[in-house]
Amino acid sequence: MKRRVAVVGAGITLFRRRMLESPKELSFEASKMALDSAGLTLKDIQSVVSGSAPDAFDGVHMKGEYYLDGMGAIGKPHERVYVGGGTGVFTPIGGWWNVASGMYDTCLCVAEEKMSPLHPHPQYAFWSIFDQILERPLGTTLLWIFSLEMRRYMHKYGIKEEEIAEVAVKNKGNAIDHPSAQLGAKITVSDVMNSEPICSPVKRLDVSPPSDGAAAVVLVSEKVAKKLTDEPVWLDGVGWTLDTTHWTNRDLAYPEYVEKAAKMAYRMAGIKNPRKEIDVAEPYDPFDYKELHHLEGLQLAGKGEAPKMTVDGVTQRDGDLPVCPSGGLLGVGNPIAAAGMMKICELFWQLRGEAGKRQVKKDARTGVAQAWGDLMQVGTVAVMRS
Amino acid sequence: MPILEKISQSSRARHWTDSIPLEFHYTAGVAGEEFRRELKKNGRFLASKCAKCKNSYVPARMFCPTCFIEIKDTRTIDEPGYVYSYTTVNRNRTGEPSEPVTIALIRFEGVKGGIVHKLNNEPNKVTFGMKVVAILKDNAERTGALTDIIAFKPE
Repeated sequence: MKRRVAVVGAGITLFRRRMLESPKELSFEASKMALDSAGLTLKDIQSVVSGSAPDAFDGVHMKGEYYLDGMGAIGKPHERVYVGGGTGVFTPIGGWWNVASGMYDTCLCVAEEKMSPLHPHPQYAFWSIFDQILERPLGTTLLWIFSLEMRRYMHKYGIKEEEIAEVAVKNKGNAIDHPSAQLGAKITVSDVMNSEPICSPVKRLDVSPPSDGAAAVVLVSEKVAKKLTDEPVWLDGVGWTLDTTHWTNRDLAYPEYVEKAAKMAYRMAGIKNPRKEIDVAEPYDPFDYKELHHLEGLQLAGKGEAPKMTVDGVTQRDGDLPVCPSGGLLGVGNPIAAAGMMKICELFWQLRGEAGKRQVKKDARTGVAQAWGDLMQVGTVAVMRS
Repeated sequence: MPILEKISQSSRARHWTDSIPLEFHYTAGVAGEEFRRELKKNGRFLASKCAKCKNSYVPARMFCPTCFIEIKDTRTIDEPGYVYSYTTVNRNRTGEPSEPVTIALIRFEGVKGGIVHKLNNEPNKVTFGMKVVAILKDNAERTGALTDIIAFKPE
């Protein structure tokens, strides 16, 4: 019999290209803020779940064992979960297992990423995720598959680059109001269109930056939540699935693995009509077209229809379905695992009405956060309610 | 609220340099070995065909991921491929600007999977579904590596 799980605190560091703080210190800052906001101390925490993307970023093998001091995990049951870029939303899912199962009443979930140590560029780590015989010899980079995917998506539904650029404009604009943000800016569609073509159709301003940062939430059982707060935010649905690393076999125009993960989470949360029942969404947006792709996978837009929704203003903070009110990865930054957790934090603040200048206009009661990654193959989804 | 109290002190972030030197010797796998031998010897792509679902996969696979049974039947692909999607790359693996190169995901009719490779064509002349064939190194120079294929070109 699974138990209801609540989020009662959230914390986040600055997201920057290069931070002085070490991985342990970044973890500490986010963890401490999350504990403080929950009104708890480390003594109250029974277990710790951490998330971080490849060891190659921080440059420490067994990174989970290395950074755990900063998460208050010494001498406590600690596990690190990992699904590449999907890790940020997978981390609270791991925490949910801890609490929903009845194992623990309190669980600190922390996601950390320090990408700056890796040279010549953090993106360089990714060449080694490709097939060593069939793909690497060509000098493959992640940007190749993103651009192949973006172009296929545009081709299948007749989408224009300018429509996709609207997402970058919206998210970087939203990020101006986020105190952690690395790249909040007022830009225009033509700024995006005129930015450097990196791997056509992907241009510089279609892409999120590499970052250092950490984010954390505190999960507790219903019994503890009711003692701590009158405003718990419930983690009512979780879902995750993976596709094969044979990305060449996939329909590049539609993220089926996100659909499967979303349906799992919606079923658990009792959501039958996501478009009507979800008030605010934080889909994963490392690239502007990915927000659109993921809105469709999340069943919040019909196939090929997310661009129009964006152009029509539906996804603005004052729209009918605010999307990435945080500013997303495009604006706040993309310390991989921490970026996914940033979305969980944002829903926590939005659903409690504590998002300040970022607060969405509508009365938001139910939200969905999603992350994506590994070799473009994983969907991780969390449904939260106030 | 650490984020509101602190400022980033990036300029003070001194760094120490180190590397983790590791070397790997990879195998191509059971089916991969057959694939590369066919490429080296006959300059053809080998696909695997599942006896149960009848799906074919390229490059060759040892097992069918759907039926979860071993695949024993193989066949060579003799038809040209087609462009499923494409991109022009302007930066290399280390992020430095590089000579533009067109890359395509090449698929084959009736076969699952595909091959990612260079496309020997002007970027503005590439179209979705365009038929393409591989340009191969001479027989004597081939080693069974992906780089035995110089590029794909329009049929």
